[in-house]
Amino acid sequence: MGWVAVVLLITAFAGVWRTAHGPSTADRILGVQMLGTVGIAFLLVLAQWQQLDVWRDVALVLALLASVITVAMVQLLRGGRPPDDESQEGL
Amino acid sequence: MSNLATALSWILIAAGIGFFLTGALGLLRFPDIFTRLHAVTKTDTAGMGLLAAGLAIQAADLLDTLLLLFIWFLVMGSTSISCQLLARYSLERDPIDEFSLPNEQADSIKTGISKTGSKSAQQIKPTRENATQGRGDHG
Repeated sequence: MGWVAVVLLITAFAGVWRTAHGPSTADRILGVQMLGTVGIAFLLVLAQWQQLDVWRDVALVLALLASVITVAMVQLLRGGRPPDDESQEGL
Repeated sequence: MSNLATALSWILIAAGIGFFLTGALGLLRFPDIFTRLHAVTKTDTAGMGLLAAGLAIQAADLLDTLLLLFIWFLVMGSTSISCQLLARYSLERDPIDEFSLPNEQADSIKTGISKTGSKSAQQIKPTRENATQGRGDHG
C-alpha cells in the first residue's frame, strides 16, 4: 500500500507546480482543486494502510471543504454576479 | 478475504492510480486552460471512483464502504460543477478564443478582427505579466 501513497504524492506535485506557475487564475484554482482531490485519495489510502478509521473522517471533511472552495473562488473573481447573468459581453 | 477479491481490489486501485497519473500529466503538459480542465476533472473523477471501489473491497465493515461511496459522490459532484464554473469564467475573460474554435470560424475571426492577432500572440507564449495584464481588461 506504500507505493500507492508515494505515487499519489508525486501526482500532488503536478498540482503544486500548476498552482505556482499557472499563467491564469483559473489554472491556479484548477491546481488547488487537483491538490484537494489527490489529498482525499491519499487520506483514504492512508486509512487503509494504517488501519486507522480517523483518516477516513479527515478525508470526508476535506472533501466537503474542497467542494466549496472552487465555487467560492469563482464567485469572488466574478464579482458576486450569479452564473446566469448575461450582462457581460461574450456570453 | 478470498484471493480473487484481493486481486480485484488491487487491480482497481492500480487503475485508479493510473487515472490520477494521466490527469497530472495532462495538467502539466496541455497547452491551455480548457484542455487542462478536460484532462484533470474527468480523470480525477474516474480515478477517485476506481480507488474508492478498490478500497471498499478491502474495507472492514459496511460503514466504511458507505463512507467511501459518499466521499466519491462528493468528489464527483464538486469536480463537475467546478469544471463548468472555471470554463465559463475563463471563457468570459477571453471571449474570442481561436484555439477552441473550428478552423473556418477561427480564420474568419482572425481576418475580420485585427484585435485577435495581438491576443493570439499573447496566448502562444503566456507569461505572468500577460496574465496579470489580462485581468484588468474585462474586469
